[in-house]
Amino acid sequence: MEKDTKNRKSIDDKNKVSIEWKKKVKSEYMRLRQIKRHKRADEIKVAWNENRKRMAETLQEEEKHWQERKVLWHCSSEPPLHHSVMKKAEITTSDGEPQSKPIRMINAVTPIPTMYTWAPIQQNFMVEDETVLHNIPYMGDEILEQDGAFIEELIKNYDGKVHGDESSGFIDDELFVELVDALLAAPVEDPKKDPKSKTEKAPDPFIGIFQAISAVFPDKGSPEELKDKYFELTDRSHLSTLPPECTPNIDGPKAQSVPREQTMHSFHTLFCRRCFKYDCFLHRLQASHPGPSSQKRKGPDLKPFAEPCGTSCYMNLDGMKEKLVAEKANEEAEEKEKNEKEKEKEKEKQEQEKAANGEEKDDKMKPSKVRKHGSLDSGNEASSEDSNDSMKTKELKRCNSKTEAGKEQPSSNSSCFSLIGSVAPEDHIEWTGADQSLFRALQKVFLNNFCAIAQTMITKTCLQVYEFAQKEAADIPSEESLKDHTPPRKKKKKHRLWSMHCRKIQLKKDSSSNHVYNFVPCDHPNQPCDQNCPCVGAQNFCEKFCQCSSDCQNRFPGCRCKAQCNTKQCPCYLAVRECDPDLCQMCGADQFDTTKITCRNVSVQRGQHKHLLMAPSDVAGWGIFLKESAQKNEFISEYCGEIISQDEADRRGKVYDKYMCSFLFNLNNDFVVDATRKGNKIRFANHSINPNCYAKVMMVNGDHRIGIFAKRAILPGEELFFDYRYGPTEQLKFVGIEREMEFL
Amino acid sequence: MPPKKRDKDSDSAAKSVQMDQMNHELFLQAFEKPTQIYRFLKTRSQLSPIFLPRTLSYMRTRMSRTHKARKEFKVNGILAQVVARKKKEAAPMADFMTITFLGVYDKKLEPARCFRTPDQQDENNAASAPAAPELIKLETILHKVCHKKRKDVTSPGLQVVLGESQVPLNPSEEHPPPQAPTVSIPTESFTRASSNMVKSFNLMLKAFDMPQPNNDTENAEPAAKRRRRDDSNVYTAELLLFDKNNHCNLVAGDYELSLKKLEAPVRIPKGRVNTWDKAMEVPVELNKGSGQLELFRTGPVIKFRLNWASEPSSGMVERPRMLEASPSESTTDKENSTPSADGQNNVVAKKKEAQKMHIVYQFLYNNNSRQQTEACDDLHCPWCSLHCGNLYALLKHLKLNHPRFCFTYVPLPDVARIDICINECFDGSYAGNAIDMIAQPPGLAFSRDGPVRRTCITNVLVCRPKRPTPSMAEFLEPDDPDFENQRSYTTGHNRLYHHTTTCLPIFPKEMDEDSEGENDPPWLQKKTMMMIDEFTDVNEGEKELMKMWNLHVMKHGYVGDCQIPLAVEMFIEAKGDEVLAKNLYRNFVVHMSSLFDFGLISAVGVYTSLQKLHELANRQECKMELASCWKAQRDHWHACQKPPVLSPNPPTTTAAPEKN
Repeated sequence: MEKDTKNRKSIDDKNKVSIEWKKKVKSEYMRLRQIKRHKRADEIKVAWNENRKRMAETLQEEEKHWQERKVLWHCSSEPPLHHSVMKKAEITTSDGEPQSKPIRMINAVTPIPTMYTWAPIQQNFMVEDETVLHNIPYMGDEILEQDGAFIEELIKNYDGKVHGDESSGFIDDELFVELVDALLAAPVEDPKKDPKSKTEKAPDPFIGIFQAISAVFPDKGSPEELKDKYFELTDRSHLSTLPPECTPNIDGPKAQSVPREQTMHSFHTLFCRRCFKYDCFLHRLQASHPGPSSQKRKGPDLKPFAEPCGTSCYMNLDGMKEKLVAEKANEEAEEKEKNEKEKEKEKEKQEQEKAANGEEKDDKMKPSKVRKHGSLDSGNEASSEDSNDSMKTKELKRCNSKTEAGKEQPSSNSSCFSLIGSVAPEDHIEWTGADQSLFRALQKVFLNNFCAIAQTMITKTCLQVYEFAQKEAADIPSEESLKDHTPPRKKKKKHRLWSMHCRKIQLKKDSSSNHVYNFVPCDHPNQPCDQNCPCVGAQNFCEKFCQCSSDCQNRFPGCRCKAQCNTKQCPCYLAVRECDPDLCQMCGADQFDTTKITCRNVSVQRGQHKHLLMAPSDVAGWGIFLKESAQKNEFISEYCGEIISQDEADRRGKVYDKYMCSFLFNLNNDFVVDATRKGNKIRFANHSINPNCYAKVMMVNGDHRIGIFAKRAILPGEELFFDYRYGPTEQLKFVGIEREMEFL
Repeated sequence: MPPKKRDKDSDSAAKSVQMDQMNHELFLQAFEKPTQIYRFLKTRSQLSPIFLPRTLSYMRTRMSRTHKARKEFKVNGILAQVVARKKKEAAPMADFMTITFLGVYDKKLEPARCFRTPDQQDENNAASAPAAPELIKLETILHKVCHKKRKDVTSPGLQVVLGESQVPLNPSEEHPPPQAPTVSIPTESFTRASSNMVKSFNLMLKAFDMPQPNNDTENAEPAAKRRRRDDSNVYTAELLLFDKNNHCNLVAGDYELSLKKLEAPVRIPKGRVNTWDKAMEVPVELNKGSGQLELFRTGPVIKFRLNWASEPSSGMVERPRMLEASPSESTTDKENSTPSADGQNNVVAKKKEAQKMHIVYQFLYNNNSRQQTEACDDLHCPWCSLHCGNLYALLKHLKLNHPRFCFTYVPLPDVARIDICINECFDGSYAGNAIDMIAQPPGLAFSRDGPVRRTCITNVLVCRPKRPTPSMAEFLEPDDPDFENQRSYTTGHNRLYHHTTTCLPIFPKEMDEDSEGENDPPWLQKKTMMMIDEFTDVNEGEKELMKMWNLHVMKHGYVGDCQIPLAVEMFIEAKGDEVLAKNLYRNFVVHMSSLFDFGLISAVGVYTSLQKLHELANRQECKMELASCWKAQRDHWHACQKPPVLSPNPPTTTAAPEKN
C-alpha cells in the first residue's frame, strides 16, 4: 500500500521527465536492438562463411577421393576413337571457319523420392516437449488454402505460441543491463545527480530510468523489481566472471576449500548411472536419474595397509601401532560375531607377525610376505562381505583379476609417485583449498587408509594427511555406520527365490495387460518394495539402478543359461528383456569383447545390427534393404529416434499425419520414439501386412528399446517391411499410414 | 465396258502399285532406324571395340586356341614351364641339324618323266626301285645374312656350301626309293661369334638342271644334257633357320619348299614355316596368297625332312616315310591365328563347303503382308558383318545383340530361313546393372579405367518351391509363413542404393562400409561437448574431464556396471596422458571417487587405477607440469588469504627433513 503510493508519487513527481525518459528509453532500446541485430547478422554471416568453407573443403576432399578411385568419368577433351561416327554439333564462325565437336549423350537421371534431412543416431535421444511451434509447416499452397483450420488448430496446440512471435517486446537480462547502462551513460539534464554513483542506493535518475523502462515495458515488472534485478545481475558480473554457484576448478590456481558435497556436486548430479556418461542424452528427467547411493559401498574396500608406507607414515607415530592393533581387534571382535573364526586367527597371526617385526623400517624385504597375507586375508574378506552380492564380486574378480591373483589388497610401497620431493619441505605443509577438497573427496573412498590417500593426493605426506584427518574427524562418519547391514543371503534361499521369480514372470505374462510403463528407479528408503513401490505399481522389475537392496523381491534375477538365450527357456527372453550384463554371466552377456559372447539376447545393447542399404522402395518412397541375409528371428536393427512424451507425440503426429509420413513408434505408455529428426536407417522400413520383420519392445538395462527382428529368413537385397500396427503388447497407438501394396 | 473394265483394272493395278510403293516405303522406314542404329554400333565397336566376340561362350568357333592348358595351369608351375622351354630351346643348339631330302616334285612333269632309264642312276640311288627317278643335283648352302652397312644397298651375305646331294625327282609315293640323301649341319655354324655382324641364317637349296616342264621340243632329252647346255636352269629355295632374334623357327618335321628360278629367289613358307614374322616380312606375297598356293600346287617343290640329331649323318640314310599332313597340324603353331581371313578360315571354309550353308533372311512387316527376302551364303551378321562361324552362333548373336528385331529360325531343306520382324516390345529399357544407369555419360560398364566391382545378383530361372502337405493346419495360426511368401525371381542387389545422409548413389565398391558402423557420429560427439559447455555452474576443469570421459564411453559403448573398471583402465590407457597434460589430475581423482560413490568401482579399483595413472605421470615433463600447477595453487592460496587451518604440526618437522 505504502509502496504503491510512493511509486505513484514518484511518478507524479517525475511525470515531465518521464516522457523524456520514455523517449530516451525507446530510442536507446531501438539503438541497442539495432546493434544486436547487426551483430547477429554479422555472426550469421561469419557462420555461413565458415560453413561454406567447410562444405567446400569436404567437397574438395570428396572430389579427390573420387579421382583417386578412377571410377568416375571425366569428360576428356579428346574425342573418343569412334568419333567419326558420332553425332556432331557444328558451327561456322564469322570468319568462315567451321568448328565441330562430337555430341556426347548423357543418361537421364531418374529422380529419387523426397528426402527430409535427419541426423543419424544409434541410440535413443530424449528431447523435451516443445512449448512453441517452431515453424508453421509448409505443405504446398493448395493444402494451406484448402485447410486453413489445420494451421489454426496446430497453433492452438501450442497455446498460440509460435517461435519468433514475441520479438516486439523482447528484452532479456543482457539487453536489460545494457539498456540501463546506456541510459546511465547518457547525458542527464539534471546535473545535480551523479549518474555514475552505482554504489549509492537508488539515486533519483536510477529510479527514473527504471520507471521509464517499466513504463515502456509494463510486462517486465515494477520499477522496484527492475531495480532489484539490475543490481542482482550487475553484482554477479562485477564480483567475478564465474557465477556464484560454480565451484572453482580443483586443478586451477583458484581452488577453494569446500565441503565434499560441493566438490562432488557436478560429478554427482551430471553423471548418469545408467549410461555411464555425464549429462547423457537419454535420461534427461530427474526421476530417472538415480543419485549416488550412500548406503552401498562397492567392495572390496581398501584395508589400511599393514605396513608403513614410508618414513613419514602415520604408523610411525608413537602409539599408533598399538592403536591400529586395537582397532583391528575391535573389527575382529565384530567378525567373531559373524562366526568367522578362521579369519580372525589369520588376522591375529598377521598382527602378531607384524608386531614382531614392526620396528623394522626395511620395506624392501617385507612386501612379499605382506602381500601373501594380504591375499589370504582379503580372500576371506571378500567372501564374507560379498556373500550377499556374489555376482558383483565375480565380475570384479574378472576385472581385477590381475590384482586378485597377486595381491587383492595392494601393498603400500608400490611405486609411489609424488610431488613432495620437488618442493621445499616447508612448502608442502600448507593445506591449500584444493588439497583440503581433494582430501575430503578421497576420505570417503579410502576411509582410514591414510597411506593411500596421501599417495593419491601426491602433494602431502601420509603423516600430514593423518593429522589433517584428525582435525576433520568430527565431520566424518565412522566406517562402521556405512556398512551394509543386510544379512547375507543363503544359497538355498536363493534357489527358492529363483523358482519363485520364474513363476512370477509367468504370472506377469499371463495377466498381460496392454500397458507397459516406463521404468523409473525406485527410491524409498527403509521401505521394502511393496505395493507402494513405483516399480511394482508399474509392473516393472526393480533394476540395479533402484535404491532398494540387491535382494529385493521385485528384482529380476537374470538368467543362468549356458546357451544362446534365444528361446523361451531363457527367463530373460521370456520376460522380453535383454540379458543384463550385471545379472547374467553364464551366457557371457558381461563380456566386453563381443566375440566372446554366446548370448544372442544382447543385440540391442551391443548394437549388433545388420548392414542396411537405402534405395527407392518397391512400394512407396524410400525403402531399406538388407545387405547380407538374415535368419529367422535374427536381430536386424534397433528402431532409434527421439524419445518424446505421448502429448508431444500427439502434437507432432498431427503434422506428420498431414504430411502423410510418420516415423512415430510407441515405446510404452509414457513415451514415443520419433525417428523424424533423429534416427537410424531402419526408419525407412515400410509397412506391410505381410511383413518380413517384426518389432519388439524390449527392456534393455532399464530402458525400453525397440528391436526389429526377422520374421522369416531374409535374403540379401530384400526390402524390409514390418507391420506398423503390430507390437508385442499391442501398445502401438499411432498407426502409420497404411499404404496400398501388392503382394510381392 | 471392256475398256472400262480394263481401266478399272489398270486403275486398281496402279492403285496397288501405289499401295505397294507406300507399303514398301513404310517397310523401309520401319527397318531403317534400327538398321542405322546397328550400323552405327558396328562402326563404333570396330573403331573402339568393347569386347572381343571370341570371349562369348556361343562364339567358340572364333576362338582359335584351346584352353586346355588352363585347366592344368598352376601358378607354381610357371618356373618349371619356363625352364622346360629354355631347355628345349637350348637343345637344338647342341646338336646337328639333319636334312633328309625326300625329293623334288614337279607336277607339271608327267609321271613318266620320273622314271628314267636305269643308266641314269646315280650310285646314291637305291637299286631296288623298279624305275629309279631322275636325280637332281642339289646344293645346300648356308646363307648368312649380315647387318647392312650404311652404304650397302642390299644386305651383305656370306654363303657357305655345306654339301651337294643327288635328290630324286618326282619319286613315286608307292615305291619310294629306299634311301635318301642327307646333309648334316653342325649347329656351331649358326653361332654368332663365328662371323660377326650376322643377322640371320638362311638355308638355301639350289637345284641344278631342273627339267623344263613345258619344253615341247626337248621333252625327252636327258637332263644331264640340258644341264650342260643350260646353266640358267637353276632353282633355289630359301628357308630361314635363325632370324635376327636368334630364334629358330624350325621344329623337326617334313617341309616343303617351292623352288623358284634363281633370278627371283623367293622364300615361300608353307606349313609350319608360316610364321607371323614372315607374314609381316612379305606382305606383298601374302596379298597374292592364292597365287602362292597355286604355286605350291603347280610349281616345283622340294620336300625334305628336318631333324635335330645328336650326331651327324652323311651320305645316304633310309628314306623315311612321309608324314601325314593333317589340317589340324597346320594350325598347331600358336602364332598362326592371324587376322588375315584366308589363313584362319581354312578349316571353317572346308566345313562350310561340306554343308553348303545358305541362309535366307526374310524381312516381315505389317502382319507378314510385306516380305522381302535376301539370300546370303555365309555366316556373317547382316548388321555387324561379324563372322559367327556357325548357324547357332549367328542366331544367338542376332537374338542377343539386335533386340530391336525378332528373329525366328525356320529350318528348310538345304537352306536356313531366318524371319526378321520389328520387335514391338522393345522399349530401350536397360536390363543390366543398375549402377550403369547413373554413370555419366552412359557406358560405365564399358569404361576402361580398370576393373570395377559389381554387385552380385542372382536370377532364379527355375524355382520349384517345396509344397507343403495339405493339412488343416495351414488354416490355423500361420506359424511359419514361409510357404506363402513368394520370392521375387531376382535376388541380390539388383538396384541402386543411396547414401542415407547425402542421397548420393552408393557404388558397389563402397557397399561394404556401413554408415551406421560407429556409435559416435561426429555430430553427436560435438553435441555432447556443447551440452556440457552449456552449464554455467560447472567449472572448466570438470567440463574438460567430463567431455573426455563421455567421448570415451560413447566410443566404446560400455553396457554394464561390471565393465566400468575396464572402462577406467582403458580410459587411462587411451587418455591418461591427456588428463595429465591438461592438468586434470585432481578432477580425475574426484571423478573416480564419484564413480565409487555410485558403486561402480571399488576402493581397490580406484586405488589401482590411480596407481596406473601415476606410472604415466612418472615422466619428467608430467611431473614438472603438475608441480607448476601445484605451485600456482599454493601461491594463490598464500596471496588470497591466510589459511583457515593453520597447522602448527611439530611432527611434520621431524618427518619432512627425512624426505629425500
